[in-house]
Amino acid sequence: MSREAIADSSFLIDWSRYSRREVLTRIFDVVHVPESVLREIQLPPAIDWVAEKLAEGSFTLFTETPDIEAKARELMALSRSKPLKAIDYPEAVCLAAGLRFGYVVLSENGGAYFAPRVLGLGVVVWRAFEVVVEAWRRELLQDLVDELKRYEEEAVHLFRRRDWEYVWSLVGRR
Amino acid sequence: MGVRMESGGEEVEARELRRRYADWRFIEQLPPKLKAALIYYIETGDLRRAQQLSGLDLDNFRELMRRARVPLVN
Amino acid sequence: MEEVVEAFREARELRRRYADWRFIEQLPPKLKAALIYYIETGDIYVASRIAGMSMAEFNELRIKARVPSVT
Repeated sequence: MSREAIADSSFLIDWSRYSRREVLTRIFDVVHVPESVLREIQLPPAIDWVAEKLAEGSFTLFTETPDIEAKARELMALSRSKPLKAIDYPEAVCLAAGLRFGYVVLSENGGAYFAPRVLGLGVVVWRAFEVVVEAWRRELLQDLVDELKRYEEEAVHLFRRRDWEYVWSLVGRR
Repeated sequence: MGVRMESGGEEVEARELRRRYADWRFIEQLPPKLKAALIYYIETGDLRRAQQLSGLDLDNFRELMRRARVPLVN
Repeated sequence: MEEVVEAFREARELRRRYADWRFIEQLPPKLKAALIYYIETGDIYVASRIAGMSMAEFNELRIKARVPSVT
């Protein structure tokens, strides 16, 4: 697993509301934030938290180069021809950078999440769900079920039955 | 943690969850564009398209979703 | 190296001390976050990205907020 991640707006906007959000910077040495993603982040708590992490050095600004931009547009065009939910430029940049540099892509966008599978891309995409599970595996969080429920409550998010079945298989109960 | 494609059943489950938790009284009172965008998200789960329909940026659309108690379900 | 760290700390102190915090507190979230970032780091490029402004525009904002540019 790469020790570097790149995050899109859908991930950061929700993750910033999670009271255990700091575990992210304990899992990844650095989280890249594309300029196009930063443009989309307008409101607290996300804008304050992202600015704080940039200042501290655990996040770093990712400036899109022409080759990344081109790859992002190619991925957007490709995704439109497939049964995928819409992928816009900022999340396409994350996918392109993930492909180029091996970063783990952090996104809550359904299209971006399934893009590797549907488009045959060699890139790992995690939602908050996978980040919380990884944090639990590393013993950065104690009770996985409680933490996922906390995330649901704080981010106004719901995990599906398939995700909960996976969780029960990990914690060994139902 | 392998990625599996969403099945039709899973899409139905996700839509049911979004419909069930939404604050429909709040949604009904919204201006047409915002109401349509939220309903679009509830029905399809396509966050980006719904946000574009709303005319809001993603951060503000997500805030609207929260106020309408519409959960993000992936 | 120590000199560099000390210079950085001193610059940050000066930016913090001279900033017009009353002005900064009243700003919209993005601009406020960008100024706070700038005060902490002195990094105008990233600050301008946080603000969603060009560097020239952010520089105008910095001046309005009385945050000194310290080299």
